Amino acid sequence: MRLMAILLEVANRSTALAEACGLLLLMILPLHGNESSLGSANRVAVAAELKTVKIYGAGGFRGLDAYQSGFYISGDGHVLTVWSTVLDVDRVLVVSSDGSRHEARVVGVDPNLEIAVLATDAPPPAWFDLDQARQAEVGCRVLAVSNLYGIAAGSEMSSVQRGVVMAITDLQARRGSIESVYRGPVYVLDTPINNPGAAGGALVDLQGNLLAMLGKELRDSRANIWLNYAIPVAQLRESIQRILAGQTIQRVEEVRQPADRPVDLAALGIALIPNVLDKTPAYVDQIRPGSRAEQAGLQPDDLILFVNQTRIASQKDLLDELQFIDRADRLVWLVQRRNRVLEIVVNP
Amino acid sequence: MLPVPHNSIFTTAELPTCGPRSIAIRWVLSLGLLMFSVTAFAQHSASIDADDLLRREEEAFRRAAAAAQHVAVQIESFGSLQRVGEELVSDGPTTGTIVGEDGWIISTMHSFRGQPASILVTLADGRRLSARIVARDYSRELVLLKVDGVEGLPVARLSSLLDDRQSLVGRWAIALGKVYDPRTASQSVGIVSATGRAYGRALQTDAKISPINYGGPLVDVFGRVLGVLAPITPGPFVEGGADQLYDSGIGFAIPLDDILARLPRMKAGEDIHPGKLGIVTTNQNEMAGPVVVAGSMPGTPAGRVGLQAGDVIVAAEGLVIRRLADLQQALGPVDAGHPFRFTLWRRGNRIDLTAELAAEIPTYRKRLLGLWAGDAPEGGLRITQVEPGTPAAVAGLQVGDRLVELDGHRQLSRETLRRALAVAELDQELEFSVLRNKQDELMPVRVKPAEWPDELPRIMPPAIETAVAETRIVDIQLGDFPNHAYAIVPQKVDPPPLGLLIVFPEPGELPSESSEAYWRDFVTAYGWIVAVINSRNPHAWSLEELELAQRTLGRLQQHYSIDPARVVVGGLGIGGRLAVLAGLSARDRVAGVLLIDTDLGQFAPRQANMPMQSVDFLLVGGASTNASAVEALRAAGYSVIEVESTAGEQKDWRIVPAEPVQLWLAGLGRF
Repeated sequence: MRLMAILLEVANRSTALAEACGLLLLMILPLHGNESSLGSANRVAVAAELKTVKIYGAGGFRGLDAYQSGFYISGDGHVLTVWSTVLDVDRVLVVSSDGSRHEARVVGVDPNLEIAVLATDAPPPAWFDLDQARQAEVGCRVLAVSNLYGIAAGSEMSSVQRGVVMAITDLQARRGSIESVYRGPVYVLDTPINNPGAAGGALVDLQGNLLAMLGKELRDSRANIWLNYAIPVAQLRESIQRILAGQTIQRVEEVRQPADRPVDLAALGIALIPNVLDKTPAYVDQIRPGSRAEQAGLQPDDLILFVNQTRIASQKDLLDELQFIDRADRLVWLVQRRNRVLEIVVNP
Repeated sequence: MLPVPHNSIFTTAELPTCGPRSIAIRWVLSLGLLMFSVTAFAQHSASIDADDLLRREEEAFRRAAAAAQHVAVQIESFGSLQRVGEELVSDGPTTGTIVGEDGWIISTMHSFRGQPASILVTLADGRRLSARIVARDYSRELVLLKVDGVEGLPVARLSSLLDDRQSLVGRWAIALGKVYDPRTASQSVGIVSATGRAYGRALQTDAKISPINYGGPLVDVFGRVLGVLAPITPGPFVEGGADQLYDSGIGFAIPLDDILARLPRMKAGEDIHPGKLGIVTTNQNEMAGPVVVAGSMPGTPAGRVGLQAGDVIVAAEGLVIRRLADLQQALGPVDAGHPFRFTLWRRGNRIDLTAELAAEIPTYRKRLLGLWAGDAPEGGLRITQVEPGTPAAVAGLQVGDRLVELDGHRQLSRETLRRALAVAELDQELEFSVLRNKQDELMPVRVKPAEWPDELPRIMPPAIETAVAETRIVDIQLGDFPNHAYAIVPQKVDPPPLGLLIVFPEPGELPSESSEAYWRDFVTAYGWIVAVINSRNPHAWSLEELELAQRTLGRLQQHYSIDPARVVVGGLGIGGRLAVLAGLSARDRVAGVLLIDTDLGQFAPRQANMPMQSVDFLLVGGASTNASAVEALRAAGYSVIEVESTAGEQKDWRIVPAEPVQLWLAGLGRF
């Protein structure tokens, strides 16, 4: 027994040692004399930093910032950044990490992605090749390079922050909780990277591959937090090519059209409990005998949780959603009956 | 608890045995072959470049997350109330951590405050199941949910690192959440920043903890669970709610072993409550020590084990107790209904006691005898007035009586009587030894204390004989605050000590001449010191200015003898809101809060009334808008008296009815 206990103790301690393996390696390696930057992201950070620029333009009043970030995307000196009020001037000032200053003009914008391409007409010290950009996975360690809070000026380097791709999510799926023109997928970061002035900065992995562009500040009202995110290059590439080709990109209003003949609960044979509160749950009160709802298997006291993948938090949510579903469409209801969750399909 | 052998997790299917070398190295290490391993490091190191190490570290984090992410589930609630009190509850999804293969899930109370009509759990494999709340842990702010009709769910594996809390700080910690996606967990990487936070209940981490991962697991680099992420209130030194901390580098997790220890009780439907002792200490400052007992809250565990005034608590639950914060640290992890072991010194003896902690401490109301008395030069207390119909009157105490002893203890003074009365049981008589007239013989008089009423005293103490003829105006220096403050001090009052009224007027209040003239009359009439603090901004008060009340009190105490039972913070109009906060934040030094035409809005006190820290409220005017605030204050045990105002729209002290204010102020000083 005693021996067992000792063995377990050794095992226990060795875990601590194993976890400190990074540290151990750092201590041992200088003896071998081949790498002094082991475990450091210095090389990658500096390389990404040289491709990043500080951008100055309009603003500075009513709480709007007069600066933001961007990065070079071509050997001709094109800069990718976010489309914002900062660009509302004839000439935007772009400052590279070598301190060189360029008056840049806006080549074009994509109002749907809220990005802009600038032309400095001067070959940059270094630039990101968009065709070499990679896609990140959840858990990917990243560096964010931007001039957050305008802390750098002139030849000063922009700031480098480290973090992890915490999640990959679709802003579309969080409609209603986030006010953003862009609705596509984003990388959510676990570090506060979307600060004033950071929008337009670059997100790279620890091998230096470009992943994404830092977005504007966004608040997630459902989770009641600020979102830290970047837009993957894959979402931007085609649009950038169109801008560089001189095309104009129109704003596409993404408005959901109500159905011509919206689903009517009464016609289906469903009566809900009286809607007396702001958030009255969508409980079924009665089902009309012989109705389509009865045939599909809905029952009184069922609580409607989802309709066709849309979450129904209240009766109001249900009535709103049904406006967009045509009577000719298939309806998939997710309901709770006592302690079971059931999927019920109502065919037209 | 025996540590789980670390190699066990590498034999599971989730991690291939042909993983990167670092995994293999750990496996070797875990067999205890330490010497070999160092050699192994040295041999491998030659072929590792900088990028490789970074990649391996990242790979380790991902493997840890992959190993643990199936124990995290997404939880949505439906039909819940949107508002709980003043708190807006987010209606987005939250995360839970599976702790039982047959459907037991731990999450945080954060998302379930609104009594949802339905709770839907989405497992990592996409199955959607209905869940119900089985029990709550109010101490750790967790809920236990149950999903029926499942078995063989992946369960959180306990990290053996928890066995040695000392070694936790600095270790990698990965926070997982399922809010964005029920299948793939969100990941944030950090380290364990501290242990024993929030009065010994939580681990602290610098991984990003927010509503995105509340309820999810915090895992070690092996994918074993350290704790469940929770937005708990961190303790006394951090202001603001825990959910305001999300971008601060401060996050909390409840250690999984603490959760598992309580799981059987919670599974049986038993709620867990923080254990309360009911002790009253002489000094309420958390950093002050030693911890000297002033008494126990009536009807509490401290009372039942016989804690006595003067006891000094020196140890509890294996911790040395030097100050009040230490005692709170020891109490924090102990649940209601569980024994709390502590050690105290009583008159040179070391005594070990065990009290069974309670979930609820009865709402405390101040005690009343119904008499005014001053310290007598010959010792004891001389009664100057007895209020009719009160316990003192019923017991037959008379004006002129000298109270010499209480329950056999000599050296009765205003201060010692106040302490004894504060913790007196309502159904137990206090026995005074009384000297009446010129008699030499001590006479026993038994008095059964009553609850302090929500009414003004029915009688005044005898008028101050020496009317205040002269007053003096003193400027008060407030350090780095630029506010103008002054005090009007009566030159001659008998007997000292003095009452003190600290006033927050409306911002940009009266021109100082007329204001001073008014207060001089007040001082002449009542014999109190009045200190007036003017706002820095002539149009508004700022919250930080409430500290000025304590500064003013401190300054004046350096120069004058002030009766602690008669320190009042007053406010006119919006200044009254500041007065309430200032009064309650200095509860151990302030006896009353006087409000004139103040709209309290939805104010509710955060702390309940406590012996030795009682605050009385007098609200003049503004009654109709203050109903809920008054109710909340009374529910917390405070005495609140409301009086009609004749001031009407015109907010001015000069129209305040003198009599009720005078009665109330005088009543504060009585026993």
